[in-house]
Amino acid sequence: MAKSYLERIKTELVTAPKLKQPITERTRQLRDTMLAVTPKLCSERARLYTESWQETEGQPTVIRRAKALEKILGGMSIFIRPGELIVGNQASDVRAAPVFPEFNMQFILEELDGNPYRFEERPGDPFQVSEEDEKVLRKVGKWWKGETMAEYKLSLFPEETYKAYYEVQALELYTFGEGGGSGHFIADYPKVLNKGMYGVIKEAEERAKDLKLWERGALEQKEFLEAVSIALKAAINFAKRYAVLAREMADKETDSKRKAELIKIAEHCEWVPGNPARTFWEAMQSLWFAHLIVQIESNGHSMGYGRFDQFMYPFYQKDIDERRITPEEVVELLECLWIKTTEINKVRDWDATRVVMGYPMFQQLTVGGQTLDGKSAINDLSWLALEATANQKIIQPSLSVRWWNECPDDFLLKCCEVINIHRGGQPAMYSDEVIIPSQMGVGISLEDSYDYAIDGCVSPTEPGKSRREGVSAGYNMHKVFELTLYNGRDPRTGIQLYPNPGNKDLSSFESFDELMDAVKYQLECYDRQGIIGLICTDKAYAEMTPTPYASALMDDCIQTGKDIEWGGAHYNTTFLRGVGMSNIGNSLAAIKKLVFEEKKLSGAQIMHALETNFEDMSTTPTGPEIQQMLLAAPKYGNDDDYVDLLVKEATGHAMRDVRRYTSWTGGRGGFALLPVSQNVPFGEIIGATPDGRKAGVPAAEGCSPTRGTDVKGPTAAVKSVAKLDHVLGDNGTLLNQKFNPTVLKDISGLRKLAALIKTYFDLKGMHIQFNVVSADTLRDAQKHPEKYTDLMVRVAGYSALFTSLDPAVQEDIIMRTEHSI
Amino acid sequence: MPSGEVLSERKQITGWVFDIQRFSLHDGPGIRTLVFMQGCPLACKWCCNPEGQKHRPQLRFLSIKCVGADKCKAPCVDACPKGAISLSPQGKAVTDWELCQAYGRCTEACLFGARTIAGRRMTVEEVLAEVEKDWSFYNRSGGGVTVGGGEPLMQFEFVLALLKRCKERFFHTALETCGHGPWQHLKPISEYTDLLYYDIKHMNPQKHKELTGVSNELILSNAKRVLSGKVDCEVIVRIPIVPDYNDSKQDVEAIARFVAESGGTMIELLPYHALGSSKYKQLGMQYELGGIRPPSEEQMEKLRNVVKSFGLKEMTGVF
Repeated sequence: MAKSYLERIKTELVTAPKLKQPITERTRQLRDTMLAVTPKLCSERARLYTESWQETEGQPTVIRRAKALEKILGGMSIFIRPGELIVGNQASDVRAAPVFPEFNMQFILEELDGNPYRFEERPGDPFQVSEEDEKVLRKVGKWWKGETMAEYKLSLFPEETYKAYYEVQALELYTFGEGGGSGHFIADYPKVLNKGMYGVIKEAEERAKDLKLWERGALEQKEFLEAVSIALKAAINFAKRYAVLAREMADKETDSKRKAELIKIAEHCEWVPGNPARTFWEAMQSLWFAHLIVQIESNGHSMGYGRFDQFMYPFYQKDIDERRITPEEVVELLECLWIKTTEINKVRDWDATRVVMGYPMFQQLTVGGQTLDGKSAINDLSWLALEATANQKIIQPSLSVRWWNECPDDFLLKCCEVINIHRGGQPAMYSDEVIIPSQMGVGISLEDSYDYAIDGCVSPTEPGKSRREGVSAGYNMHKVFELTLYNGRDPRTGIQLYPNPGNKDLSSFESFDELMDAVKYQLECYDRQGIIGLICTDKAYAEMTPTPYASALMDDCIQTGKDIEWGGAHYNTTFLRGVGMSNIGNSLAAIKKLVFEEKKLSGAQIMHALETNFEDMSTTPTGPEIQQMLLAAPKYGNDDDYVDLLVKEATGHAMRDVRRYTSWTGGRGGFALLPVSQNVPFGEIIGATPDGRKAGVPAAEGCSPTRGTDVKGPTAAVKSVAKLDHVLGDNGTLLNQKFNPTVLKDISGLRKLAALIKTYFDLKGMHIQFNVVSADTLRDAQKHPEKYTDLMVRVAGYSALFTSLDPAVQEDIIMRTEHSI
Repeated sequence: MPSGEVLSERKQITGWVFDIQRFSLHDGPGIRTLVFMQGCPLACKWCCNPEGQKHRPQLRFLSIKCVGADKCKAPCVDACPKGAISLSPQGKAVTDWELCQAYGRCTEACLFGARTIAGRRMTVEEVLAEVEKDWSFYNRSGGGVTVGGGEPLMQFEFVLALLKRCKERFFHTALETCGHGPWQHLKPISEYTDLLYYDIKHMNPQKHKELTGVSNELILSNAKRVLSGKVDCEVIVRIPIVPDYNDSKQDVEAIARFVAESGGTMIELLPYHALGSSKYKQLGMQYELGGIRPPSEEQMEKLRNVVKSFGLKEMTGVF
């Protein structure tokens, strides 16, 4: 008997990307037309929000926020694209970015004036702006001057904190936009699917009835609960607008099949998200509305879906059992949702854009993992989600897979298949064995820890329960290390916030321990400033931009009558995203070896070489020679304890240190080792460093080794990285590995990839993702060798850095790589 | 106890190793570490590891890394006791390969890593320590250690001791050999080997000598024993496919027939590649195969069918 579609997906692995295509002509069309669009800015939200804000002056802020959402959802343009099965748009056009004037309008105005670029002319992530939209945005922008969250936040910064963030720039908030909204949580979507928003409204109303209004804070709770009702009703009415539109379109539709689809869509939008979903398709529609409105309410990022295969499975199973749907039709619906998710867009200021290029929204979707009783949580929907990702090969949602000790190998191999086919780093792999203890380590219950999902880049979180951050701060630890070398003085600005203990610098440290202690001291000083900056930011969110809609879908907001921005979530945390630990460890190792052990150089000699960017030819040894001596010292990423343990010590110190702080919402300070890509701008403000890195060169990303210095291949790199205390990185640690597709040309290659993943997790690594390097990348590396210093091609008994090969040999390798696609 | 230390020191077997490469994927099952033994009785024209041919250290000079005398005081020139290094008119170091004895002083002097020595005398325990680093990867992937080269049989005692130690650690072991060595060496080594890769390059003794520098009698007589069940391990015969040299249907047919008749079951065809060509210049050697392109996919397909026609299992590999 022929295998069923589902059996084929589970048992027939392929290694050629072209063998996975959108499952139907419909999803191919929807995908291709979406990708062809140059996004534009949409002014509708900005105008409607501003009008509402003017109308509601004098009312409580949380009510005003809910009414503004109501106005937007009632007034914005809606459309249904040809062939869509799931409907609901974020702005007036596909992939158009709405504008959130309440957060930050200054950058919109500046960039409209061409400072530093007009939106259309940006070197990356451009936006078209129509004349009409520009007029509206300028008008709105003027009105908001001095009134935005971004401006208020800055006014809260103490002078010292301001200097640490904006002058020394050891810390930053620009990655997610100075006026980026609060995000980094996963709403309780299962609640919407199973209870319906009417159910949630009822909950809020009942809670409001119970309030003892004579008690302290009860009035504020009442206001919040009222806002919840307004926001949820607005969401239900938003869906009903689509019902009306779908019926109108159905009336005009001549194709009978499409007509039937439109009627079905209308029926769905009349019923959900207000009521519990009745079918899988309807549940997908309800989920999309619930998620979409989170994106419209706040200017956040990193709002994920949670454990999709878990909460959607009952709907799937019921429809399959009752023969209402086939697995193929499910994949088509999944692809429709994937496309919808990729349609979500956001305009960030240019500084933020250059750090996170590619219009990313960090909407994670998690599958796999285990249940609380340690059983496999993998179901048919987990497999189908992987298939949809392979078919679509688009950037959103970011698919994340939870692995654990007893994860079946066939499922892991399927993940490896998709990693090879997607070629964009999906799915990313996570280990329950490290993440569950890491969550419990910050006070999350056992039950909730087992139910974690991924959010943002690589952050574990508890869906419906945890507010991870409003916005996390990027932490330039490499910069802090540089300050240590100069007795706390920033060589770029001359600012000295914290002199080292004993006023020592690199030329006067008498022992390695003294240097290490100074590094730890400086990290502690800047950890503290980092947390203060986040407290200011969270206070601004709380006072200016509460989010009653998202709060309605988060425990325990309704019970406590508190918005998530006021600390209403069951769990709260805030965190710093450390960057550059590889540089710190490599620098420490070089100083330890050359100055304190071999005594080949003095601290003063190195300091002079750093100040002159290794260019002074008049010294003995010369600047370039000193640089080479530093480069020759042990480097992180080669499975060498000498340096790996130094990386671990410095990083571990900072990770432990932030735990003593409390966030504004009452949660604990946390740490993540993930870079987004701010390691590039971070590097620009750091002078030459003792790891042999010249001034301005990017810092190392995440917990990955410095580019080009891990020369012993992936097993050694993985072992080095696994030595860090990942279990302390409760907000995620990130390891990126590059792979040449020739390695993955057959199933045995996929098995080896699977073995590498499993071993990294055996060694207590937390997350790993793979970039499968394409022939295009290799071509680019030929043209720009400086960008690809670490690109390793491994073909059999001979391996080499790609850029060091003869052009003819490079051609040969490109040929092989292309052949494999 | 000083006397004890001396005693244990004397017993240490050492070998010449020119590379240990972790995460090797094409020389046996799973994720492996490849140990390259230095020295080979053959000198195949297409050899991709020319630094492993001689049974002694080799200087390797990477001219792209030499920054020149304007950025560097060229300590390499004075470091060489043989006076083999001079400066070109452009200020770059030039090695006189006739004079170079690979003492390695220049490699210590050069701060820019332009000069390295391929080949190091190592004890079994030193090699084992390196190999053990990836044991957890072997565990998860069914991988292990592959000893290649060079030619492992040339350092029989060392390789035997190393393989014994690896088997004590339950590592999967593989050996890559050209077969040009005494049977009384090959036999005991095979007892600690799970998988034997056995190269046959040509059936014609004259042609074989032309291509590799030696005739193939010893290789074929060992091959017969290996293939007819005189060893206990799995055996895969490897044929490097080098265009114009041994890529004709007849060439491959002759080998396949020999393998089938001797009782072999598996052949791996290794299409020629030029990845090792840049090393020749770095070692002061001549690469004779400059004009040759890798065999086409069609050609490989044809040869695969030849192999299959003898009822043998074919697995195209990479070398």
